[in-house]
Amino acid sequence: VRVALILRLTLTHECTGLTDMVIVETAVNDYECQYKLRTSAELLLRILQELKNRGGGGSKIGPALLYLGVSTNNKMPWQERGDTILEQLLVTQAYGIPHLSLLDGFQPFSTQIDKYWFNDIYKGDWTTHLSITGHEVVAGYLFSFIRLLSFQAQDAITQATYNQGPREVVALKRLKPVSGPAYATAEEINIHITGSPYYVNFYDKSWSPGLCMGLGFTKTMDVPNKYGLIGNEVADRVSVVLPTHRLSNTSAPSITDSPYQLMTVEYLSSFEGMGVMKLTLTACDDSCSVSNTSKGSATVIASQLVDSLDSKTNFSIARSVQLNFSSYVRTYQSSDGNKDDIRRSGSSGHRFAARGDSFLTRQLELFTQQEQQINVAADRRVNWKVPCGYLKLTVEIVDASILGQTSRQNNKVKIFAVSLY
Amino acid sequence: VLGGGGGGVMVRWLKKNAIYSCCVLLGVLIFLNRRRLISLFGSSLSSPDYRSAVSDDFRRYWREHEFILIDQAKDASKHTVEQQNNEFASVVHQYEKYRVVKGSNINPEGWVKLPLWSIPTKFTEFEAFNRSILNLGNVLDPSYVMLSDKLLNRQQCVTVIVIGGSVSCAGTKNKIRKNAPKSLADSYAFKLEKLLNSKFPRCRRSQEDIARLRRNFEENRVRGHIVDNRCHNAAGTGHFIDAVSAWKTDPFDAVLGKACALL
Repeated sequence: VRVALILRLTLTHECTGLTDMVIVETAVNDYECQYKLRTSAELLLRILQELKNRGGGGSKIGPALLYLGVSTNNKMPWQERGDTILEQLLVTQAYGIPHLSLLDGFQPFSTQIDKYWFNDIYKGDWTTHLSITGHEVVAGYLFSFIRLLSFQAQDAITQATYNQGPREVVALKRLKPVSGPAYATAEEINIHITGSPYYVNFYDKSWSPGLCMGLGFTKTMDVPNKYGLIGNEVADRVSVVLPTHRLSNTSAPSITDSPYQLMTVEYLSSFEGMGVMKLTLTACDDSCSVSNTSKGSATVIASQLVDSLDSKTNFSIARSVQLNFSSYVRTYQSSDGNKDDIRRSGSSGHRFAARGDSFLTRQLELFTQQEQQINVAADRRVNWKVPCGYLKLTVEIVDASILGQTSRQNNKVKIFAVSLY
Repeated sequence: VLGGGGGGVMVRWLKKNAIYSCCVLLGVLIFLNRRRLISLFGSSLSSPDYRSAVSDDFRRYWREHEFILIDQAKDASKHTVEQQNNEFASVVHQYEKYRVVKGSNINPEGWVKLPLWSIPTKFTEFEAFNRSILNLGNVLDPSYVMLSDKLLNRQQCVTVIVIGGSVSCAGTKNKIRKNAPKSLADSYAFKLEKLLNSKFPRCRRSQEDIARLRRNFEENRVRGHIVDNRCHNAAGTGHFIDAVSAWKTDPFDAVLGKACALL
């Protein structure tokens, strides 16, 4: 029976996911400006919507989404930082996604006793985290909401389309996608929906960092059960080598049709003890050892300074920087064997940037320095080739004086993940 | 125990320790009738047991209020669909719309007050639940239709994924507190799985799906509803954009990926 099952799966069944519903609770850790909040929320929402699930009648349906707000950085929109639940709500409204916010259900409190209940019973540690009771309440609300959605959907089907069969139900229109300057661009959405990134994560305890090598950086945990690639001193460095080709199931190199190239580095941003890191992206050939710098046939594509200290906050969150080098066109030369030819075309250059920053580039101080570096790199109008197609990302801790700040006693840098689209 | 003449000994002992005996007897009586006493005098006598309140009142809550809720939700849904046609003009304008949506959920008049979860806000628990629904969404989307069909009509098991930060990981900065979560088993995701399995019991799952899920889950979970908690401490939307993009092509991921290719 098992053999027959395997044969059936292999020969007839199209491989899809099994997800029926995705609950997204990210509001508490999204601490960015408003436009960036919306852009990232829309990107994640679109990625999740495109996950194909097994539906009825042989059709494929994406998972049902539900946004949940438990805690947030409670600021008003006209302030510098937006209330994340509010910003996510604008996106979920436009896409017709259910949104539940327990914070809005409870507040405002009429008495100090009520407030005490909220902080002491619902929130266990008087910050953003829930107590056991709080988790019970959230679970109860979620279950109630899921059941409400189910009844609502059944009610609508009974009235409208249920008698016509499941295919007609599937044919119902989705809501119009969001379009506007504050939201994700078509290019950004396309990269993430069609792309299958090469993903290296360091927070997974079992993952072995085989493709990286460093001096001073180690994969360890600074807080119990919170792993990452951590360096503590100035001049500590680590290199992560990523193949520019995609890895298929057969481990044979295959070239993606997507013209977009994107690298994301996810790091820890905190309010104390953090340092400045210099990210360098290098294209190298087979002989380019991970311990080498950009010498020989290697070419530096971009260099970027990132300050992982955010003294304006009082918490630690994961942030990411992106390198979008879509302006580089990569072709596959089959006549020369397994070689990638990475060639630069156009003059638009490339840049490190956070998602959705196109509106705020001039508003943020750090971006000014980033842009200067970008221009330096963009002026190197040279064609370069990578015969075997590897990119090397080097992370080096540098002194804070390079950003015009005073030197720091602690210079910790913690990398969570690196992904290459 | 006291033998033939022990009755006298016991009486003498009780007289000697009368206060102590009464206290013990009273304590036993209070303990045996604690729920009755709490219902008589309210929860002010002792700390309320929120956990039992959540599970016990669900049936009663929904029996009495689900139709009212659905009517309210329909109004909110219409409002939302109208809103999505508008352009996103300015931040202030968006905030005004947000207030309107919230306002559409607030209508305390005419609602029966039902003590549920004992949340001491100025709203009843029912009102708090309705206020917490910022957006009902487009429930006619095929994904919600299929989910409801699985739960209510076909009695099929559903697989839910939770992505979130430290709150979803049942994290806390003060583990000494008695009410602080100790492990992932205390997280709302785990409790939601228990609720789904208790309120929508005896669900079915195909053999193919069970074979796939065995790769990632324990045997006692693959035959019921699954809530897969994929939280990561300190992670926000930016983290999960990359993580979900990677998971969806992972050949070893049974839920999000393409694990069936390796079965």
